Amino acid sequence: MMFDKNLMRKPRSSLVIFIIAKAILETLFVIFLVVSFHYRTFYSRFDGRIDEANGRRVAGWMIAEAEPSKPVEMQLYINDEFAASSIADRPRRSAANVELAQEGAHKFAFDVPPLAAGNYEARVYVVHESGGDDRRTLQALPQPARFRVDAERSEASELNGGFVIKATE
Amino acid sequence: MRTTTGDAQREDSAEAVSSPRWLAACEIMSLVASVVVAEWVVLPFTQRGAELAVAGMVPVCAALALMLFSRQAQGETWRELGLRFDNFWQAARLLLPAMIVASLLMLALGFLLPKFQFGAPRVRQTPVWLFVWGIGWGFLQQFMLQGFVNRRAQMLFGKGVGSIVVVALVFGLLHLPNPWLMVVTFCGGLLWAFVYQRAPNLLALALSHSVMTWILIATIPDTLLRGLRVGYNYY
Repeated sequence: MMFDKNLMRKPRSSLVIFIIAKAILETLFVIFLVVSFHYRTFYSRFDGRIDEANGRRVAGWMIAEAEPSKPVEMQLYINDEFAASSIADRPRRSAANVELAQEGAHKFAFDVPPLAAGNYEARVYVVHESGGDDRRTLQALPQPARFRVDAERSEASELNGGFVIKATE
Repeated sequence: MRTTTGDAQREDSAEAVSSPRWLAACEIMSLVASVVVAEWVVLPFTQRGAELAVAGMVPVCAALALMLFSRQAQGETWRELGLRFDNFWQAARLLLPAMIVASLLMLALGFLLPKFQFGAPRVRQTPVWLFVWGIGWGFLQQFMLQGFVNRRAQMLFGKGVGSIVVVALVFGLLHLPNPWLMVVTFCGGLLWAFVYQRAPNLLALALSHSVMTWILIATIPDTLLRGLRVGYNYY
């Protein structure tokens, strides 16, 4: 294989060192970007709890630790399927939870769509926006809630043309 | 005394490791790595705006630093790289026939394609865009591609088909995943690498790059070119 001898000059060890240093710095740069991205996108900054869950309604409270006063979009998933979305924008003002109210807790409540009889698991997620609204991730509140819809009451409600379903926790 | 077999083997090994061919390959890979970081890592992992601009400068500056440091270390002069006027017309004469043929082909292709549309999108008709794209960007790409990659490819494979194809492949692959742009840049890479090896003049190549880019975006529908976006930005 012929190569151009005019272009080949005495190799410089400084160039080798430069290339190695550049590779290390670029690797660190990429790691920094990825870690920073992961922290901002997936690190949970929300706390909260589901206080009530039944066939009609799922409700509770949440705190956005970074921006407590900002209304936050929330989504309800029942048995891992999207059920409803809501905005948590009402301050939680209850005598029993003065401390939470002072910390910026907001109430949320979802109207549950009609459900057939059976056991259900409700999970509530906070919609977390990052990257200048380019990215949206769902961050789950710590504990899911389980509830059961009674079969007889469900059938009776449907016969009556409505979906007033008796639920038991 | 340093004539033992072990010493000789160590010297051979050191020679092999520090050979310019090995180094030239590493230089090309290092430059490609910087561009890949800029195209595929910075955009998805940063926030648009100032953060993106600052983070985007890191691989760009790293690539420029590599090219400048390498030039210094290899003892290359600016004239050798192609910053000169004496061979401008020689390079232009080599470029013009191929440019005319390519322009006619693009024009014909443009007529055949569905939803044919002449003229660049409005954002590309602004004076700032014309200046930045037409002069600065074309020159920067040719400086990187010919003044650096082509010269290192010649260290690896010598003048001729091998090094020309390497340059075209690097240029085409850096435009992933835009299929139209990959084809066009591969063909352009072949032409510009060929001309550079016969008449190294970056100014003529930058001018050719700008003109061909303009003809490309004026003839081929933007729905196919996807705004000339590459890397993660393509999606």
